[in-house]
Amino acid sequence: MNTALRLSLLATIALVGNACRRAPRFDPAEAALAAAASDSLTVALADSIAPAQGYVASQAGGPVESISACEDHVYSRGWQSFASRIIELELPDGYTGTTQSSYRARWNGPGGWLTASSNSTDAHVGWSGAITSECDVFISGSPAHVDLVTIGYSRGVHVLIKVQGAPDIGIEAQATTITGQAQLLHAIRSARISSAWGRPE
Amino acid sequence: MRLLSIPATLVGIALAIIFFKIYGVFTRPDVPRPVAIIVDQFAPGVSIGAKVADARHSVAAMTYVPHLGYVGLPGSRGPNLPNGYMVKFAQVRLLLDEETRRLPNPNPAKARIDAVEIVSGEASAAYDIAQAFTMTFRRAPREGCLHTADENRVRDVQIWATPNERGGLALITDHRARSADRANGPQMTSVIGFVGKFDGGRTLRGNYTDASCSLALPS
Repeated sequence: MNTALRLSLLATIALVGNACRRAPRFDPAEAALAAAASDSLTVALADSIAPAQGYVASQAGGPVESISACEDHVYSRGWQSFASRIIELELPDGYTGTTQSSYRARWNGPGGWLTASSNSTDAHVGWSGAITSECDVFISGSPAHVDLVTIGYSRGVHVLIKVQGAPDIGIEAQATTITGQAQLLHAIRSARISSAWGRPE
Repeated sequence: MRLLSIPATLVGIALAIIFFKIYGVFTRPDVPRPVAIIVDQFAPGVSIGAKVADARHSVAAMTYVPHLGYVGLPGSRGPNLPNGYMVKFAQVRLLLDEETRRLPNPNPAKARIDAVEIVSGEASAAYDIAQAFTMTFRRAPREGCLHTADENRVRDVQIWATPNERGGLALITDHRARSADRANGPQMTSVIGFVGKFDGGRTLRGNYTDASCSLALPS
């Protein structure tokens, strides 16, 4: 019984000691300095990665003749989500899926179309047109090369995504307007590679 | 004889309860498992409670920022979200406690990582991470707002704490209420893994309020 009492006493001391551990002192001035340091770091990081995402400090006025492949300012709230075995993406209103297979998916819309397929060639191969802008970006965590192309009145987007451990994905999109081209560029840049891609059915 | 055995049984049960309480206190990991796993997924090789020097091989280009901690580039092991999705993080911050971060040059071999912040500039990061955290913790987050020096720039905060408040994860992202805000620059998203009870601005290293950012901004 004595042993039991001793054990209970020790346990009580341990629990009380644990509960009474002194909380570290709070210094509002130090907290303000920490907040300022954290905030300025975040702003500096945003500034450093902004050019890679196509953001510019200022833009000249006047009508836009072309867009940058590094640029992505399109507002996509309300767009419809689509999924395939290659990519999952959101497209503007009016787009519908047509061809859907393991290696090719296509969506048609009122002002353009978009296809995604397995690709075994390099960037700039297998299509024609004048490249107006190109950019290296990451899409769904994989490195990708984006080309904006003009063929007559058609505005195209060609993207090659290098997927680790799976075949590369080639995406081609065509629009009739610059706005449509910017929308398709945004749809592609914010697309996700399907978890089924590169896996046997 | 049977009557005498009842107190002995009660004492036995009490002893067993006390034993397991003490056993739990001494054997439970310092960092809750969900927090430790997610920090390791987003910044491989970094763990809360470890010494800064232990993370030197996992964080590239590490530099010391006074009043905050050590900052560098996180490593990557590929997909870091469920279903093979991935958020690319641009920076990892090894946050120090108040006492250590006051020092002009703390010793990395002695300084312990008090909390970890991982930062991404990807537009979809906040949405993807929030979904993953909701799945992990199986509950909606507590919401709040982080105010910055620029009164027009506030940041949405979502907190997921472990059930017994031994730690948690905070998801912080730039508040973008209007479409025009998208043109201001990349939408920055941070994840802070912390131990202990959530203590507002002290935990987040910022000016935190419990009210939603939608209420904080002038309409």
